[in-house]
Amino acid sequence: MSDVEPTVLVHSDQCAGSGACRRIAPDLFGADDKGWVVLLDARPGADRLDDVLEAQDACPLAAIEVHDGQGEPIE
Amino acid sequence: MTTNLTHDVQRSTPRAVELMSALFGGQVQDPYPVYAELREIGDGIHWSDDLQAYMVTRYADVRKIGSDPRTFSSDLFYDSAPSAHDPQNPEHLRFLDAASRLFMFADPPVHTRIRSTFRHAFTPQAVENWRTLIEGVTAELIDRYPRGEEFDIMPGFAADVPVAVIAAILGVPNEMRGKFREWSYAYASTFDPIVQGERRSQAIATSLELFDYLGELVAARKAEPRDDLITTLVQTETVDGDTLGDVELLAQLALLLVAGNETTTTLIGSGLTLLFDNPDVRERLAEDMSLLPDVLEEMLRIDPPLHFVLRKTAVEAQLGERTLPAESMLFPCPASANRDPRRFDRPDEFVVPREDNKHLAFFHGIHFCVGAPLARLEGQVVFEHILRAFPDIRAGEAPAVRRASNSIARGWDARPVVL
Repeated sequence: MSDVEPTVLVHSDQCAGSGACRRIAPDLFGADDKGWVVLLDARPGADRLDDVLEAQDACPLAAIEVHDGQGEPIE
Repeated sequence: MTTNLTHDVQRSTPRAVELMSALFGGQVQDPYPVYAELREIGDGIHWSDDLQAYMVTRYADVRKIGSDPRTFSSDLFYDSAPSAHDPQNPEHLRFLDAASRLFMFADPPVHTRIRSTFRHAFTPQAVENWRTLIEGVTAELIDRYPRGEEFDIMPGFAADVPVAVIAAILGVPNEMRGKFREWSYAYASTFDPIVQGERRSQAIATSLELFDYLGELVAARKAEPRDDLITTLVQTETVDGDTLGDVELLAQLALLLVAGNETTTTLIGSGLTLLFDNPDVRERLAEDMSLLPDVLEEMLRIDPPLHFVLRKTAVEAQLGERTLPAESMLFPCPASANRDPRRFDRPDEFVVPREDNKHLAFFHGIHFCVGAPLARLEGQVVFEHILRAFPDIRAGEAPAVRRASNSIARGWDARPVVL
C-alpha cells in the first residue's frame, strides 16, 4: 500500500462542518469562512495515504473520496 | 408500503422470519438480543413480509448504504407510510404537496439544494449560540419537580425540553409550546403505517395547522427579518443561487419538529437509564464532567433513538455477497450496526471513552442528521444540568418500560426517577 500515491477529492457542497478531517490532517484539509471544507493538497504523496484514508473514514457525510493513480477508489 | 415488486424476493430462514415477526409485531421490549441473532444468521440481510423490505443488520452494509446514495436512493416518499392518502380529499392533497418535499425523501440534486441552506443553521459553531437558551429551558422545566419524590420523567420533562428548545429557536412565544407538542405528535403519527382512515384524516388536519402556522412565520420573517433560524433559512442562497420556496421551506421546518422532538426525548430516557445502570461511569463523570461528550457518544451508539432508516435500490446493488435487484426496499438498522462485533469490541458494554466510536446513530453520508450538532448540544446541556443540580438522582421503584409498539422510533413508555 505504501507506494500508492493517493488523489483526494472533497465534495464541499456536502460538508456539514464537523471538522473531523481537519483534526486528522490539518495541513491537508482546511475550512473557508463558513466552516466548509477546503482541500489544501489533492496529491499529498504516498506517505500520507493512511492520513487521507483515516479522514475519509471519519467524515460523517462521506464527502471525501480517495483514488489511486488509475482513478480507482481506495477505502 | 407498496407491494408491486417486480422480482422474487430472497426468502429468509424460518428463524429470521420468526424473530422479525416478533420485532415488527410490537412484541419485543428489548430489541438488541433480536438484532444480535439476526446479524449472525446468513449474511445478516433478511426479507420481511411485514415490512415488504430487506432488513440490513451489519455495520459494513448499513454504512455502505449511507455512503452510496446513487445506488441506495431516498426518493421513496410515495413508497412509504407517510404518503398514504385519499386522492379525493383536498386536505390530504394539500398535506402531500408540502410533506412530499422533505429532503429526507430526496436524492441529489434536489437534496443538495435544500440541504445547502439548512446546513448553515446547524454547524457546531452555529448551534453554540443556542446553549444559553437550552440551559434556561432545562433549568426551568426540571425545577417544577419536587426532590425526593418519585415521578415519571418522560411525559413532563423529557418530552417538554426538545419542544421548548425548537419553539424558542423558531422564535415562537412560550404559550405556543403546548400547541407545538400537539402538532408535532400529530405530524409524527402520519409517518406511522398503522394510522389509517379517520385517524389519518385527523392527523393530517392537525398537521396542516402546523404547516399553516409555519407558513405564517416564514411570511413574517420575510417582512421583518430577525436574527433567528427562519430568517437565516429565508435569506440563505442555495447552491443553485436561488432561495427556497415557501412551501419547500415550511415542509423542512415541520421535519425539524418531528425529527428532533421524539428522538431527543428518547435520548433523555435512554441516557438516564444507562447512567443508572453504569454507576462506575457516573462516578467518573461526577469527578470529571469533561468526559460527558464521550459518554453521550456511547449513549448514542449503544441505544440510539431511531432504529431504522428506509432506502430503495435505484439499480441492482451489491451488499457483501448479496445481489439485490433494482427497486428493492431496504430497512438498514443503525441500532443493530452499532452493536456489530465486527466493528466494535465488547459491543454490548457501555465503554467510556470508546476508541474510534464511529457509530451510526445519525446515519452516514449525505443524509447524516442535519440536526446532529443541536441534538448533541441538547444532550450535553441536559445531562450536565441534571447531574450537577441533582447529583443523587436515582431510578424510581416502578420499572422503566421500553415502548414496543413502534419498532422504528424506539422510546420509553415510562422512566421513573427520584431527584
